[in-house]
Amino acid sequence: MRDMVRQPWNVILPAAGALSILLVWQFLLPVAGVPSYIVPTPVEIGRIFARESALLWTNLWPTVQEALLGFLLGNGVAVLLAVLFVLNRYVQAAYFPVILFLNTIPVLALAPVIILIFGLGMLPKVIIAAVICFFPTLVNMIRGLESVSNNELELFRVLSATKLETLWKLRLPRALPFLFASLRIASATAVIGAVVGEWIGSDKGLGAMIIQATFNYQSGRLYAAITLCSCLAILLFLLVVAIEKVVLRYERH
Amino acid sequence: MREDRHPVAIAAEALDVGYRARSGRAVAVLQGFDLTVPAGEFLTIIGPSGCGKSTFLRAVADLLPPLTGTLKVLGGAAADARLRREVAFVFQDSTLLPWRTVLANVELPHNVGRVAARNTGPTAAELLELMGLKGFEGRYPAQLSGGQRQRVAIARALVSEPRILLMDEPFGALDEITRDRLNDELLRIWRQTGCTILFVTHSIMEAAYLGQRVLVLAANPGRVHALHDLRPLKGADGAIGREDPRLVEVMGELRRDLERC
Ligand SMILES: Nc1ncnc2c1ncn2[C@@H]1O[C@H](COP(=O)(O)OP(=O)(O)OP(=O)(O)O)[C@@H](O)[C@H]1O
Ligand SMILES: [Mg+2]
Repeated sequence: MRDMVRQPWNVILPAAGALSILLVWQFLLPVAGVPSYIVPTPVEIGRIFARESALLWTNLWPTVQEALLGFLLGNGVAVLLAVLFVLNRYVQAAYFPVILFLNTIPVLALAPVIILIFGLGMLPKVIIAAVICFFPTLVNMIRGLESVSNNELELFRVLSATKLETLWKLRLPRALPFLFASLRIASATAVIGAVVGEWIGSDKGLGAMIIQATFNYQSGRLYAAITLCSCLAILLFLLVVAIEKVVLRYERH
Repeated sequence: MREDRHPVAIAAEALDVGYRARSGRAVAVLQGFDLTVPAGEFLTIIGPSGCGKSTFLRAVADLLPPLTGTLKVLGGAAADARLRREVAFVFQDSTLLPWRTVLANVELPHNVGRVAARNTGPTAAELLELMGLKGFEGRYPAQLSGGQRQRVAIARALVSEPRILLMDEPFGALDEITRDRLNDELLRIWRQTGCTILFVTHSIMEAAYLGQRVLVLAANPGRVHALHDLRPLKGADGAIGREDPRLVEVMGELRRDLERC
């Protein structure tokens, strides 16, 4: 907030940029002959929000839950696994290559399998969102836990610190900036995972709404759903940034 | 000042210290190293780069096991002295943890290791005051100058009341004025605590000014080249003027030693 007050241009310029694009979209696209059933104008999309707010809300909620739970599950497992790998090199040597291989499978190819295994409820979408968050956080977290310097390790050894104390008081704090870098990215990908899951097997959620609206040429509803997806990702991102600001307080000095 | 249970702080005999290559073959950096450091001595160590000064400190701190020979720290194994928290290390870069405040950094030794905290000594806050850092307790390391950070590192080393203080070029990155001031503070702390100090430096001036004895190491293999006893020059408290002609003369001898080894 303080930055915004000190640097008003940081707010004014991006707002002006976004506004100019909205204006072109609103007034130039119809003139250019793009029909409203392909690209509705911002005002039309706004009207959909007002008219179909109940429908949009009921579809937003499942996606919010899936994305959030997937985010927590995927990143949580990644952090725990990274800790395990760093504590035990043998486990890392044995399992990291397997994970590396599994990561090369595209999520889009994996999603139907997950739906097949876990059915049509909310769980498979949570898992798809988790899978998509998992790998970058695992890699970042391992890098972070290993980013301690030789002197720092020697300091802890001179103090006769246990392995767990070194983990807790040295490796984890060192890893936090790496973790948050990856959580920022995961905030967007978790929403992608939830939506992809809903495309493939669901009758509710923003993903399902996108598919149905496309088939029914309800382009206003389609664009409204897309807007909500991106708002959700932005909200999750801002939440991560807010937590990061508190946890990494020391970095601002 | 604590009573010293053992009159000899460090005793190395026919000591080989080095590193193991990937192949498992040991490469000795220090070979046939003999040295006795009486408790309470301020010993400065100089020598060409790569001769094994840091390696020797690492062996004393039990960060590196000796290859052969014996190394006694306070009459026992180096590991025992480390586990009893009788050895503290100050690195060239202060190695403060950036997420801890100055006070929390100094208190780190109380937060790790399974050693019952000795409550007899000065507290972290008192040590910070001693180091001239009163009022800086709540700051983060990034908000300090290099000299201030090194003072915090020294306070952290002192908080567990070590008998032996190992310092590896602690003031190497500081300007001369700051370095002179910290040298005097260090001498004062040495007199107050009576601890044994092993101090590695590249500065001939610093080595001569601080040390009761100055150890000159030669390289390839690392070994004792010369050991200068400056106690006759200095008062009982180890004090001598920086411009004292006798000190200047010692510095000349040290420089000639270093050129020859
Ligand atoms: N971890 C290590 N593994 C293998 N060899 C090492 C390691 N650390 C140091 N050495 C080697 O040991 C020798 C002595 O190193 P050391 O760091 O003790 O030198 P130094 O006297 O402290 O030098 P400087 O004045 O540059 O700090 C060097 O030749 C160095 O290459
Ligand atoms: Mg060195």
